[in-house]
Amino acid sequence: MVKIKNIFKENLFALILLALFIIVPLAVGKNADIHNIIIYILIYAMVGEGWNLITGFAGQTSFGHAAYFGIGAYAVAVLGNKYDVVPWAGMLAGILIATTLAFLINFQLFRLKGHYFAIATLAVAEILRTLFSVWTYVGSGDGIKILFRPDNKVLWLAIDVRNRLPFLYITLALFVLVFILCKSLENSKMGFYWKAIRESHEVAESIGINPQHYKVYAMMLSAAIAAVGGGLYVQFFKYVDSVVFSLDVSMIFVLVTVLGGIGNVYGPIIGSIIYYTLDLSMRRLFGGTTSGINLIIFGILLVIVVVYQPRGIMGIFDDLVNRRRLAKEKALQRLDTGTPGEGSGGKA
Amino acid sequence: MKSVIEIRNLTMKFGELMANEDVSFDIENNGIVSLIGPNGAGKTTLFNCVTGFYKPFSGKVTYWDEAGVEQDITGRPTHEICRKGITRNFQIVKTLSEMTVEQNIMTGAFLHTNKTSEARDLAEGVLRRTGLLARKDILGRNLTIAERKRVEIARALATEPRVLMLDECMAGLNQTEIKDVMNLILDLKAQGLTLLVVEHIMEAIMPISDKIVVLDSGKKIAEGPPQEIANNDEVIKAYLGEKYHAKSKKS
Repeated sequence: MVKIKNIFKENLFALILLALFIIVPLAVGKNADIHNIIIYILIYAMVGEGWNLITGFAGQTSFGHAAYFGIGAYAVAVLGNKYDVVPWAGMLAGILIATTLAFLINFQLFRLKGHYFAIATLAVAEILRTLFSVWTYVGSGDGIKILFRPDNKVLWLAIDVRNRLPFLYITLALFVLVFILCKSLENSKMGFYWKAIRESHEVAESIGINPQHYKVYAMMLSAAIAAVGGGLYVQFFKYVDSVVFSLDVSMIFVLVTVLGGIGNVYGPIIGSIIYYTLDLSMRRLFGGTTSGINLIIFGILLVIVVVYQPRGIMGIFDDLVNRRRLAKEKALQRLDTGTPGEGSGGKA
Repeated sequence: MKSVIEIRNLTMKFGELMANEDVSFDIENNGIVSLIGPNGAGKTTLFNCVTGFYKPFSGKVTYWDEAGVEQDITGRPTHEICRKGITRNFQIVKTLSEMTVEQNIMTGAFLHTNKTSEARDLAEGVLRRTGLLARKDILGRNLTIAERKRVEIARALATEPRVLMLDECMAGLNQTEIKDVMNLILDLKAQGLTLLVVEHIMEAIMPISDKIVVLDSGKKIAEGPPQEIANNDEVIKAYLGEKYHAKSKKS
């Protein structure tokens, strides 16, 4: 009983978020616009969680996650369109292809460090973009579309324009799975090793970690999650072309994660919520006459976050919580002056 | 006493610069071997060669594991050497600054377990042994230099090494802090560890070492028990210079 209560208490923030994601879509009724936004939020937050594993935890900057996202999207679209394969199986194929590719490429790529690695990831996505824009089998420049299946909506993951709720909740369920995966990874051996590698390669090696292996694991998991996001994205859009591999797409994952808090499992979802709520309201405000101003505002916001709180919005939140806790502890210490505080330690 | 590590004719070159030249010595089981020498003598380079950070130009490093099996560890990767039971720390402290003291140590403890709870238990033991228990929730970046050096040792200890290699773990500490580290090193020896210590502070190194190896300009100039080293002509010359050594002889 106590244990359940503790789990509840420790994950209070996550549970509140989950409750909001369940209630809000129902509360707004048949407002397709808001449903769309929530689906966007969830898909990009999901890929953001994946990107967070390799860049936030393992510290290897990737500017090419669109590669795995695009592969996920294309796998679902091509298999569904040409071979009548259900999107769920398509997604599984996407995961397999993306992780295999992540393994093959990054096993070599991880010999590069820092900026050089980031540039190389960018190149991978660009190569795929060029390849898919001329490859006729996958529709070359015209892209490839998802055929609408009214027969079994859940099996075919079909999105009904009049009722987006089932799709929204499936996306939510998958996001929750990804979130739980990332949170448990953070507190596992893998998570500890990734963070050690992020902070110092030398330390990692000196305590028996093979950085190469653990970075490849991070990249493969990250690619798998991005592929799931890509699969959902193509079902939602019903269409994909080679633009999905562009830097613009890679940058969305970076943006939502950095905005929300890099290296924090809550970062991508918080960043994604803020990004798309702002995006929607700004498009409403400035739409038509001054389109593009939202990009300027995001640019400024990103600069402010990076300069003042590199740990993003979750960093600001954490600082507030810590400051309150410290103040509380100090007040308690002042109350019982009879017992001296814990020694400063450091002495054997 | 039986050796755990045997270094034979180790040579390391950076371009034309000879950092280590033909260095040979043994590290005896459950002993404290200290490596001393003036700045630039090649102490850290030798250290890096033994722990796999550098691949030596020539020479051989042999290690006998728990079962007494002879293993050639020359130029093997660091993480592999660590898994065999040789762990090092760093002269320039590299505390994992975004992690708490406990998490720093848990990272080391994960070498022998895959479970977070087990790693936490192992870490608690190490925290107790190193007197860091009261500081376990402090973030690495908020620690003092003395605490950081202690965390470095604790993190290395969490990998449960047989041989612990400490690179200047007392530099920059005050007298009381140095005393603490000296006691810690002696405790570790009593617990059965073998230690290789690189250090500049003679008053700390002399009383605790079983054997001292002196390097100068990459070459080994002396090896022996502390008293012998303190009176060795070559060593005094290397530390004080030819001129002052000559004067001291005259008087």
